Amino acid sequence: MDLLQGTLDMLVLQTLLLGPLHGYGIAKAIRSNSSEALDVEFGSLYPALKRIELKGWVAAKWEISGHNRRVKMYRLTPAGRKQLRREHSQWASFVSAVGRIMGPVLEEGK
Amino acid sequence: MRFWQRLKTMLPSWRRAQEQEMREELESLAAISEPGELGNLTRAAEEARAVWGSPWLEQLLQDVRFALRTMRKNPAFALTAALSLALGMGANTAMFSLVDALLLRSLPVANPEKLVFLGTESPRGTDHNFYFETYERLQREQSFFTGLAAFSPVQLNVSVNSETEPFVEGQLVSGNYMGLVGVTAVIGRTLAPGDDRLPGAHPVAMISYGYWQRRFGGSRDVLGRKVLIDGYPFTIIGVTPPWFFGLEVGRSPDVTVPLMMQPQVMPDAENWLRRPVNTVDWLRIVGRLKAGVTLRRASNGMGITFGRVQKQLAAEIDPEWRDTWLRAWAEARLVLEPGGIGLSDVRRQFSAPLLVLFALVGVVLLIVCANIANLLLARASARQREIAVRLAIGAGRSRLIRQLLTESILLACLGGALGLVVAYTGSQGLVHFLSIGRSSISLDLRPGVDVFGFTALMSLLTGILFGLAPALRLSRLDLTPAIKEGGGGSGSRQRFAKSVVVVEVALTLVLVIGAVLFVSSLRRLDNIDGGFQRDHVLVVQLRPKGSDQKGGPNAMRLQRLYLDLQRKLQSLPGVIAAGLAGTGPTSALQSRVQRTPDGRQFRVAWTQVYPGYFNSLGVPLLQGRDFDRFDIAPGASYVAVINETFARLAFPDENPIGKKISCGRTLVCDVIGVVKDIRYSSLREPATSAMYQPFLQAPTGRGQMVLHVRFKANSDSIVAEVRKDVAALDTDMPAFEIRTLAAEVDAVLVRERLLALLSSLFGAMAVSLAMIGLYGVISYAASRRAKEIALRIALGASPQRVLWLVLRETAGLAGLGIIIGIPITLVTSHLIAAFLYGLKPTDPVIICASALVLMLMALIAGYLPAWGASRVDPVVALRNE
Repeated sequence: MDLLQGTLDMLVLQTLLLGPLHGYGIAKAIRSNSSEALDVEFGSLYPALKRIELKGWVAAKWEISGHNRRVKMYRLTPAGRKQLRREHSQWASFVSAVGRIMGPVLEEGK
Repeated sequence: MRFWQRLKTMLPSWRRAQEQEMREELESLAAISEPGELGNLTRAAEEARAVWGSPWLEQLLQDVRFALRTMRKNPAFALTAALSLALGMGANTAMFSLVDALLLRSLPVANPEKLVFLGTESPRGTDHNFYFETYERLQREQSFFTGLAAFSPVQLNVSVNSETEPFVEGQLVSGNYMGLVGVTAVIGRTLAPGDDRLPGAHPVAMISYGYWQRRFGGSRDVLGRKVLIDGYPFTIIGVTPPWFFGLEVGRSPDVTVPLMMQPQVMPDAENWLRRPVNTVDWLRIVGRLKAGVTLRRASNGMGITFGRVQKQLAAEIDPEWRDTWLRAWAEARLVLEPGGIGLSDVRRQFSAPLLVLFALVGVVLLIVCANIANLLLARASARQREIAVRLAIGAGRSRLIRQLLTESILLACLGGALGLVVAYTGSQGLVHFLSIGRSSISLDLRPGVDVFGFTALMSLLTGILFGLAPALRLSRLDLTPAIKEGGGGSGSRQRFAKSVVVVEVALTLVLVIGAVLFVSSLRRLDNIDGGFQRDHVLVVQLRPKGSDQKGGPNAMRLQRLYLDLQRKLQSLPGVIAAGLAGTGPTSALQSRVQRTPDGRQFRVAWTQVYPGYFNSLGVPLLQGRDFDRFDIAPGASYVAVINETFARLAFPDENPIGKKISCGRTLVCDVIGVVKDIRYSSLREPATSAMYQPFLQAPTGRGQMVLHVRFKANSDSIVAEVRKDVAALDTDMPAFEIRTLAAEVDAVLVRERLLALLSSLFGAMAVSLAMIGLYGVISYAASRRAKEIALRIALGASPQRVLWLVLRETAGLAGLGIIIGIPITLVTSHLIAAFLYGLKPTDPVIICASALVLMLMALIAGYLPAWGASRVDPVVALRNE
């Protein structure tokens, strides 16, 4: 499934709302939280992550993971939280607007 | 994203660190994921790197780097351009910082926009001085201000260790002044209303931060210290902050004392605090508007209050003078002026000439720009091939224009930065120039945000102004011939360059005419007969402790001192004559209403003099006699010498000698002589009626006199000898200065001198710039025509003919510029009419002479290339083709 422009940033922020994760973890979480419906390529996810890091919405820090490995963990900053709230409401109004136009699902044969 | 964060990403070190981080991160992630699950990591890293990039900023940096490289490749060009820009922009910045300090900058106090100055407007002009009683009643009866405060500048004779010290600028202020203005004390306390209740009862003073540092080394024990101010002991109670220079731009009072101490700090003046007859207006009044009160409302309300107060005062005044004063008051209207930028005599005197000069210097910068545009264009022909290649391999036109503009703006910024140095020195020098002779002017000229902002904006605009035309032209290249030969499009380039030079000549003509007008106006003023000889005369202000009493014991003591001094000086071999007067010819005389015994009233200026004064200034006696030693003795009968204007007005058809006129309230004196008119104060105005009285017979005021010593030419030691004799006169006298009368006259004309000097300087700059511009264009044109000229020579044209051929082109361009410049001059010159004396700004002789001189200069500029062309060896030139 293709993602709308800018939606990826929102998904990353939303995923990090639950707690800090490393880059690979974020990709996995998006996949599993969408019940495998969204398979975000790491090649697209990583640049997006770097972009929102530069914007100051997430902060990164090297930490030791459960498997005793050094990984870079990303966490939401207060600015990121604010941004997420903004995108959330935008998303909601977008969805409802599209929903109003599309109406209920057409049933086949009618 | 914030700009600084963007900028950070431009740093190579930041990028290196990120690169390293990224590699480690991706490696660690690859280790914990399934092989191949993450996809193409190299591509991911590549795309992440793109996140850092900002095409706009990156290109800008690229452009700047490239521009710097271009400059380094051709340093002679960059240096010439930057230096001429530095001069042009420096002169502009210098003028701006003066205009800014004098006209624009707000006073450094809290809410300066709420401050309001009171003034009166009458047909004679605006005046900001009020009587003490007017102030007191206005303050009591007004309701629009949180308060009205009064202040008055005064020269103080401060003595710290009972030693004689130079005069200090000071001010008298009402008790509420510091609180109303919003001044706090750095150490100690401020003057408060309690310090200004009873006359003579509050000997306390605040000193300025600067004076504290200079005179007391910033020591804290200055608090409570006793100093003598005009012989009266005062206690220092506090120091004002470093940013506080009073409310008058151009002055900086070092010592502040309460109004109630006026008689003490001016022991030899009258008591100005309580007088039944109000004759001295000395207080400036400032108010702070209450919240919600507009200037307009306060203005209307205060006008009514002022009228009421004036009526009350009129009722109390001596009936003899009532009519005169009522007349003066009826004409006067109270005006309120926004006080945010402070009050200033200096501003009134210099703002108009400074604005004129600002405009002139702006024109100079325009000419600089024109020249550099032409230079850039000339250099552009050398770069045509480079640019054509870049266009050919796909550089966008807008990108190219941006690149070229970056170069010119960078050049302008370089010039602007250098210009700041020029400006700082220049503006200091200007203030110094403005201060000659008169009381010193102190302006805060430290370059602030406003000056830097002005220079930055000017650099940007200048860069665009001179860079845009060449950039547009270059980017419109026709590629094929440009790449092949490197010489395309030169016909239109020449047309452009020539029109730029024509504009330059036109603007230069305007500046030259302006300069010639100012200089000849100054010459006329210099040649005015002021009625006195100004050469070989020394002037010394004598300010001993004096007395207010006509003929009192103190006045007698002064008389003995003065006569002693005059005798001693006259015995010096180099001295022709020495004389004393209450006021010298370069200051304004006091005036009062005089009457003749038959009841006619005249406004007459007056001063007291000693015998020999007229002789010392070379003022001829027209009728009767000068004062003699019997007239100045105590108890002598009252006598006066009058000037010819007074004689003509008061006694039109009679011999004035022996006539009686009033001198003072009830006294009557005999006219004993008539002298030629002296134009006091301003040489521009014709003399008014004046009378002279002996020292002991006139109110002596502060008792101070001005000594005039006329000496023989080439007596070098005269200044030292006079200094010695004056210093020996009286131990109570503070330091004094010896000046020449000629210098004092110069100081009177300082405005005119400033205009003449700077406009000549700017005019000279403009002429040389225009000459350089013409030279460049003509020599380029000649080089383009080299083949044609060689052919002509080969066919037998004489060198003179060729010379004339090229010179004709120069004359054509200059002539066109002049033809365009004359109407511009005619339209703009009325703006300076007010500064001219005895000249019309459209004086045809001056315009023609200026045009001729400019044409001559143009021909000189064109001569060198013309001469070169006439010497061309046709064989060499034609073989090259």
